[in-house]
Amino acid sequence: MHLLLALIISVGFFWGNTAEAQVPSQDEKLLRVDLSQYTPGMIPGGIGEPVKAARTVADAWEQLHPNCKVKYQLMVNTGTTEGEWLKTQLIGKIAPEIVTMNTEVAWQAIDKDWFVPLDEILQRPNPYIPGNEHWLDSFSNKALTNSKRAPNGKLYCITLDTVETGLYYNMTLLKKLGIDRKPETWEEMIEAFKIIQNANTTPMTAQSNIASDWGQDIIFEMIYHEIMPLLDVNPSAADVKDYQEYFFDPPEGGFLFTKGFFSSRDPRWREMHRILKEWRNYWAKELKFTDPMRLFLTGRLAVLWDGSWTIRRVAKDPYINFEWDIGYIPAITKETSHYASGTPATLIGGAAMQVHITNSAVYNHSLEECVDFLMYLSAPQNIEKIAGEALLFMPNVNGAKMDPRLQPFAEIIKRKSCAIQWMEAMDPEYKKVWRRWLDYYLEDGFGLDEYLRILDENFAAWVKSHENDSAWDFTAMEKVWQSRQETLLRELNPAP
Amino acid sequence: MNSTPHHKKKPWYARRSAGQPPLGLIYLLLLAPVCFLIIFNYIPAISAFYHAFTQWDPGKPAIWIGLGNFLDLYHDPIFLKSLQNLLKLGTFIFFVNLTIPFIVAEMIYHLKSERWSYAARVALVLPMIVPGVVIYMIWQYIYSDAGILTALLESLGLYDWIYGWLSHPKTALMAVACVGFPFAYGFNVLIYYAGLTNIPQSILEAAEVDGLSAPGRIFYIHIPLILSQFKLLVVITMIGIVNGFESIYILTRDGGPGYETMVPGLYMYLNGFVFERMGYAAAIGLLMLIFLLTFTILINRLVRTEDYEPGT
Repeated sequence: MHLLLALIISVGFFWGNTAEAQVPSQDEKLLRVDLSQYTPGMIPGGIGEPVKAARTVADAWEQLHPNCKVKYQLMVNTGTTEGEWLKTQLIGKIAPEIVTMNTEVAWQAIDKDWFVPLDEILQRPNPYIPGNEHWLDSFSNKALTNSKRAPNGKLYCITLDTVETGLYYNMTLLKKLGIDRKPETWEEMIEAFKIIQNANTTPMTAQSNIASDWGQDIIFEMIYHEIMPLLDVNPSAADVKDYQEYFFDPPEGGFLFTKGFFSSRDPRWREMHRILKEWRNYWAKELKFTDPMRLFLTGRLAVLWDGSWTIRRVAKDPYINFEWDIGYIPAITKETSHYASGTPATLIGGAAMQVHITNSAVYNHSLEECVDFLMYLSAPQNIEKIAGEALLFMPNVNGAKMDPRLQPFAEIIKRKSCAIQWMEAMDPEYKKVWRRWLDYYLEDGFGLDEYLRILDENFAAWVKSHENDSAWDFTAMEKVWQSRQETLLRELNPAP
Repeated sequence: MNSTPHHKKKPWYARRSAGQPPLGLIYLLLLAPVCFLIIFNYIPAISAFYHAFTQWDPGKPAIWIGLGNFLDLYHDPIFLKSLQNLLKLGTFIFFVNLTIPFIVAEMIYHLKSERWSYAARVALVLPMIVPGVVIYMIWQYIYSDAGILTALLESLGLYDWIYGWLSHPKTALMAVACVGFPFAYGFNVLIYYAGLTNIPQSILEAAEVDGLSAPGRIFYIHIPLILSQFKLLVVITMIGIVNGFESIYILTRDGGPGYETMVPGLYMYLNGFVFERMGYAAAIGLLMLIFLLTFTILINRLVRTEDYEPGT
């Protein structure tokens, strides 16, 4: 019996190893690819058939490259956005050759050579797009693509498509409560929310507690809009201005903090958090772990703030028995805050599928094959097929058609990006502290003064952690500051 | 006097006991698991011990800093808060994990019908096949706005009682602690029950003859005679409390709101894999190991148990 068991284990062990060793052979290149929601077999939004277009595209590419195999392999997501699993794979040099994730995660590792910079590669022609001279030119929102440059100026990802958020309204519910149209101003929205809440229905919420993050981005822009040209002491590069007109990168955010902005001394900062807290009163009680989609689909949530990816869920659900519509966050007016300019809210979305090549491609000598595969994948006829099937994001490639149901988001994304998104590129240690205390404040853990005091400490520690960082040289910004100092200081200390 | 080939001693690896495979094969088969144990358990543990004294950002070389990490931990308010939470959570879990299963085991033990006793044990063991992750996710749903707790309160018209149980600073730790209600953990019940059934009938009969009441039998006979089971559960529970963070990782994700549900295990994980401060994480791990070792040794010293032997 023991011998039989040993035999089975041994045969299984060696057979398993032999089977693994068969693929790939010596002259065969294996590309392991994670395409996030586009990875074949995924069911985005948990509805509809599993996606398979990326497999069809890979099969066609393999026909052109008989010595190459594409193996789709979904990255393990462990619940946070920092890619813990990926880090372990990158350290061990066994990560998939191609991975999809927010590129800000890669920025944290630019000194570790975990990801391949694509700048030179993006200057090559894409042979799968007739007449293309530089691959970079094939991306329709080039400013957005360029905006994904790391603090060292290098681009580590290509942006296959774009995403934006919007408000999904349950119009049937609103009309039942006497609200016959989507609110057009912030004040109208709050009034509508009051009516909905009085009817014991949740007025608004978003997935996974993201409303506090997105809410901060949106309100920041509307409160600071009037002084944004003055505050932007390190103007955006020309090739990203169409997307990020005024944008604070992390060193700029740190510099402005040392001058008193984004601190407890800054009245706008205070006002932004006051409005956010007031808004939070209309969101779900259990903010972090409520499934807003369930509430929305069952008619217990009036407004769902979610991304374009939710279109698939809503459009394919056969049981939705209410009329729904898509809108966007309305503008805050002077009626709510005297800092408000009344300008429309900025976008907070941007790049969706941000595809990177990892160090595995270098170690396995398959970098050229990875590049070629991505060029093939990003050809308009291919990305159109993949994005169209998934119905989540809008293709970011010239000539690739978009599903018309995504049109409302395509309109929203024409706006400029919000300036505060430097938080995304903040070192995770300090970013997490910020988010953590923001939620604590919004959940009545403490008052505004205590929250801002803790935030001041966190920002000060963050700036200090970069004091020997050459990328954080404030000299140029200081010069600009000096020329605007008088006006800006007045904004910090307004006349009573 | 000459030894014949018939009496020649077999080499050690070819020796075998009756019905057993040769010794060499046994060692050969043991070799693989021992190797795996060394590679996946002992080497990482030794590595962690070394790295606890370094500043190590994964992907870069580790820098020796001596006791630097431990000094930082001593002043780290988050770590201190995590210890405070662990104390609160641990006290509660310790109490319910040890008392409620004991009460349930006593109830089953006192059932007259063997059939009902068996059914009760099966009913308690069945939930053990549900993975912990699933249980935590069900509780997360129970606590959500779309969950049954909210639905229950709504149906009673108690709208003001609806809370963000896991998000609100005042209720988060309590909500985490209440996961697993009613705390009649099958494993613990079975351990206690096994101890109770091992108590010799003669002692119980003698107690009855002496007129000892039912509570008296529990306090003067049952508890002293199942101390070894109690000790086992104390150690297992403590290891679970100190090392375990999966419930919090699933329920509140990052130990929030604020740091209201942060525990050392989760803080170690976040430092290692999110903040990329692997040396600091290793130092937390080492402290946890030292605490658990000390605790286990102390329990073994303080709670002395001896197997009962009739006639002694």
